[in-house]
Formats: sequence, C-alpha cells, structure tokens
Amino acid sequence: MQERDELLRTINMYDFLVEEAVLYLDTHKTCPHGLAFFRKYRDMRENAVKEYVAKYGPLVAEQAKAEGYWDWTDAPWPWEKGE
Amino acid sequence: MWNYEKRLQYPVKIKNPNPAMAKIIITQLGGPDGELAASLRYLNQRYTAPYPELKGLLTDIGTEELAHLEMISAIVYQLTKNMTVEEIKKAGFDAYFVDHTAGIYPVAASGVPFTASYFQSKGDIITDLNEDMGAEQKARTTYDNILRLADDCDVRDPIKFLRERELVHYQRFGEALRLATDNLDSKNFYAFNPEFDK
Repeated sequence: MQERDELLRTINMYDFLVEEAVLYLDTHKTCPHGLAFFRKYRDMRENAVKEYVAKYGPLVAEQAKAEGYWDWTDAPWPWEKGE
Repeated sequence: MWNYEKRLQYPVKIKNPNPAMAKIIITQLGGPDGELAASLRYLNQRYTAPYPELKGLLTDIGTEELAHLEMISAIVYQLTKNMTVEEIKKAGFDAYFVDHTAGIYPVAASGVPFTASYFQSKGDIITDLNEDMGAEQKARTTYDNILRLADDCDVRDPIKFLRERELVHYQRFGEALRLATDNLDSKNFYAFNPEFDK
C-alpha cells in the first residue's frame, strides 16, 4: 500500500514537471533548455509509469492486462483515496 | 481526442468529512470562476485560435483544467462521505441533498447550477486571451477565499496546489497575448481580427 502510494507520488512528480514543460514550450517552442528539460522528465516519467503498471495495474485502459478478466475497472478509482 | 489516466494530478486524502466545507468548495466545480468553466472556455476558444502555438496552449491548459475539476469533485466526494441526516441538517447541506443526495453535481456555493454564461468564446484572440487572464485571477481569488474558510490541512493541501496552477496559467496566457500581438500590426493591434478577416 505504501509502495503503491510512493510510486504514484513519483509519477505525479515527474508528470508535473512534464506538464510544466509542455505549457512552457507551447509559448517558447525553440527554447533549448525547455526542450532538454521536457525530454529528461518525459523519459523518467515513462520509467516510473512502467514500474507502477507492472505492479499495480493500468493507468490507462490500453495498459490493462486483460487476461482472465477486465482489470481496467478494478478498485480503487482515483477519488476514492486508495481504499 | 482525450485519454483518461486513472490517477489524480495531485492526491486528495481527506480524513474528516465536512459537508459545510463541501458546499463552499463545490463552487470551484460548478461556479462562475471554477474549473468546469475554465476547461470549457479554453477548449472552445482553441478551434479558431489563429496560431498553432495558441491552439496548443489552449488545448493543453483546457485539458489540465479537466484534471482540476476531477480533483475538486474528489474533494467534495470525500467531504460528503458517510453523512448522517443530523450532519446534513447541521451543515446546511439539506438543500443540495434533497436534489442530489451525495451525488456530485456542478453548482456554485450559492446553489446556482452551472451555466455556459460563465464563459465566453469570442472568436477574437486578443479578447479571448484577456478573458483567460481574468479567469485565472478570478479562480485564484476564489481559492484565496476558500483558504480563508478551510482549517483542515487535508483540504488546504490540494487547494494550495490548485491555486498555484492558476498563477502559472496566468503567466502562460500573458505570454500567449504577447505572441499574438507580435504577429499583428504594431501600430494597431485591432486593425483586423486574424481569426476572421482575410
């Protein structure tokens, strides 16, 4: 439970940096620092997501295992506090 | 098109239900300066935005606002869990309860339901970007007011995150306005509307 929360926190963190880079680059499309920043955290985010999905299930429907049963709809949903 | 990611942009874990606080915070879902108004504003303005960078920015911020309205809904959902009838009456939550029980429905703190009148999509980039900057400040003030009313740190934490995002969005829209005017006649920005005039 705690590891799941920590992995999610890591994803939230990297995703936030990616989101910030996306909005910044929308209005600064040739900034080399911004582009490098985006690439760096995009890759770190991808790794964090891979690790989470392998252990705790899909974050997007396409990542569902879909073996034996449809795991996409498994509890908890994000507004349910993880219970 | 849109994908959905099964996580909140920032965690919401509220230990103590509080329907009176839910009545206040729901205004950032269905109220005049809330996240639903924001997402519909930007997602509608983006179609005729004259430059691809602005189509991008309006799409990306509009999408982030959907993630924010999800957070507000999660806050209201957790604040209204397991209410007793006594708690509902004591919190003044009975008027909302009679029409929606503990369901989530977009209203302002006053109980007025969401309306498209809360936002505009004027088809003129200078006008739309000024509206967007105003909208972000209105949202920021609303979050300031919520923080004046909320004591619970489980509630204050995600609210502070959302307030910070408004300031960043304001900054980005200011840059977008600069980008737009850089592309227009520096002697008269209003000489023509790049979204319509040839």
